[in-house]
Amino acid sequence: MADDSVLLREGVVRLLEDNGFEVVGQAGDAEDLIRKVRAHKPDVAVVDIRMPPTNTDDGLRAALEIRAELPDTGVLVLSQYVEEGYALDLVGDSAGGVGYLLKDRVADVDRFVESVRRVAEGGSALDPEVVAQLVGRARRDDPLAELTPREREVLELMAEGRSNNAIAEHMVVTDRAVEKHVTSIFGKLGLAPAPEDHRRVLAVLAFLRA
Amino acid sequence: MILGGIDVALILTSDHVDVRGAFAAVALVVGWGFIGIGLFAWDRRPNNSVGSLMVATGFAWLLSLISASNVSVLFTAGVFVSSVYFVTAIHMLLAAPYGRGLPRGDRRIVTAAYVLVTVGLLPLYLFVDPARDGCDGCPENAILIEHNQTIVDIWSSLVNLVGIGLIVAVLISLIRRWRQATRPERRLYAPVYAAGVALLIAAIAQLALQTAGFAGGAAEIAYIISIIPLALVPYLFLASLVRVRVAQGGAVSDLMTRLGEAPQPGGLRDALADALEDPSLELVYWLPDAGRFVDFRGRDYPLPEDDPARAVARIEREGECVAAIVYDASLREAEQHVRAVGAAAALAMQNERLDAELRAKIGELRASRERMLRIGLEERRRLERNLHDGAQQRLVSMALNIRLARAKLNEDPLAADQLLASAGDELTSALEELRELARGIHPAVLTDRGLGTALETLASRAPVPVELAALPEGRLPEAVELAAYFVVAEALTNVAKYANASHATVEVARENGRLVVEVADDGVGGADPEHGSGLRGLADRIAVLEGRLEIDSDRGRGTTIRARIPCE
Repeated sequence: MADDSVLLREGVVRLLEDNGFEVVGQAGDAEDLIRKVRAHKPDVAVVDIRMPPTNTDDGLRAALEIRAELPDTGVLVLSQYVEEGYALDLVGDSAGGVGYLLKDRVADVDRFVESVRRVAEGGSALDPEVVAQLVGRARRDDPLAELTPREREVLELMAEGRSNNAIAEHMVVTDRAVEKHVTSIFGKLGLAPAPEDHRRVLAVLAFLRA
Repeated sequence: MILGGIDVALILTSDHVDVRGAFAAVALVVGWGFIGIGLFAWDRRPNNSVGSLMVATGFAWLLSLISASNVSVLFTAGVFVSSVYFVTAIHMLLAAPYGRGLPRGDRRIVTAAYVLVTVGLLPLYLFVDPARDGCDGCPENAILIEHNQTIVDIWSSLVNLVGIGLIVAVLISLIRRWRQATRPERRLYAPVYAAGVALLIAAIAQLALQTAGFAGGAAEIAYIISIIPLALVPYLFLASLVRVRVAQGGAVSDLMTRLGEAPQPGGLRDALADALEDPSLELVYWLPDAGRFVDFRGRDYPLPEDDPARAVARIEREGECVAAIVYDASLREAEQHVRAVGAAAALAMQNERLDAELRAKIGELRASRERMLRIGLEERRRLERNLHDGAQQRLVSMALNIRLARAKLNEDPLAADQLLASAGDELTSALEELRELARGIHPAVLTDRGLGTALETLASRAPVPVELAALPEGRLPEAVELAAYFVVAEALTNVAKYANASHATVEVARENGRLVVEVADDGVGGADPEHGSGLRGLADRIAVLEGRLEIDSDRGRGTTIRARIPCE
């Protein structure tokens, strides 16, 4: 867990430990983070985007370094701002084991813990606001206009990195209904179906950023 | 020459001219003087009618002298046109020095005078027999009907009185002209004016004496006296032409000497004003970067346009405009001279221009510092308002909810839970508001990633489709990036609010050491930078960086906002 604010860092650590995680290391700056990740090789690193030494996007750059160097370590970046640019940079060409959440989300403990777990297991977790930003972008001849409101909702949840099961639970429908929506969305947007959740995320993101 | 020769021959053989030799000499001095100098002036200034009028006066004078002939027809013709030269001379005096069209009043006087000395005299000549009017050696009047002394007396008195009236009118017009004349004009034409006035007064005296009945002696003397200023007019005019040249040469050398001395700020203007004898002269400098003229203090000085009283000479050095001299239009005659003086002072101007440029810069800096302070104050006020209305209110209500929840924790846990849930919602909203506020103050992505990424974010958040046509590579100075960001942010906000556009295009490119930021939409146009604090604040932000903001927003043609920000 890396954050230069001790208060927040310890809060998150306690929260994670309360929910069954083992926190192997804490870091207050980007260099410390990379050193400790190399030493412990954790399942997931939770990283604040703004950290010393330069107090700009050091956390994000460290996260990119970790992703390149240790593909088995998931990285969940916490940000003060909704910047889809950061999220897209972070995802790069693989949405496996990566997450980008607004810092506020730690307050919603259950969802936060679920996101950390998903990233640790090789999935993805994109903040709903980032997704809303991407989906809501004004486009000429918007292909998203073809989607029904339900399909739009499914698309957004998919882009966040949620599984069909989680989507079904969230929308209070059956898995089967979600599958039907997903097929329809991919058809309407002209995307090839992707088997794994995180590949699906990448396909959707690639579509949305185009 | 031929006419002069004929005149001399006629005078020398005349039976009715008294002092033949002297009169012949005077005839040539006056006639050839007017014609020769008139031709010279005409050739030098073809657009100035003074030259041609002098030539006309010379010919009219020589023509009138064929009245010396002993042949009746020539004598009669000469007598009939004998006063025309006087009117052309008046015409010339009124046209001097610029020889442009006469004002309406002068034109009426001149027209009346021409009519008077031709048609007006005809009745007189039909009824006068020279032999019975006191001229013994004169030949016969070729157009005589019969001699009638009554008509002659009455008509000649009438003509003389009208003539005096016209001459007085000319005098008044000349005096008024003189009072309005500028110093250089007076200096130039004083002798010509003086001779002209003498001529007019002598003519009045002659006519008055004639009318009073002193036909023989005193009126003759007045006529002879009037010849002297008449004869002088062309030569004085020539002298003024020559003196202008000499004075101009002298002025340039005086100027060169003065420029050699240590100049004071604005001293160059004074030196030029003295050299050109034009106290109203202004010397203004061209600032190529700013694209405007300033005086030596660095203050804006727009060149006069369509002002008939002011003329402008642009001074160039090595093909580039460095300055302009704004001078009294009466000197326009001497435009060559103004240019010569300007060229002599061009180097000194170069120096003073740098001074003026510096002063203009200082003025701008002072203004931009004030603008910056104002922007700062406005932003503080806006922040305070936003914090007060937004996050602060939410935190207060949240604190309240938490207190209430604590109070109810034991007796009514369900209500406490609801209160805490609503406190949580307030908290989320407060966080969101703070986040947006912080982004408005300074978008973190701009510092982290630079203009390109920040603009991509702006574009994707805009409610209309935005095409990013071009973005600069690499990083730019922080202040430039921030200004460019705010240009695009404000422009896109306006597009969303007012333009009713279907899409917008953002283009950011480096051009000759400037960053050019352009946001164009296809909306309704009609944006007015004078209204709405957004665009004005933007213009201030850009001005602080010595950039410029341009807005093209014709109604119905969409809006294009273009900022040019210096960035090395």
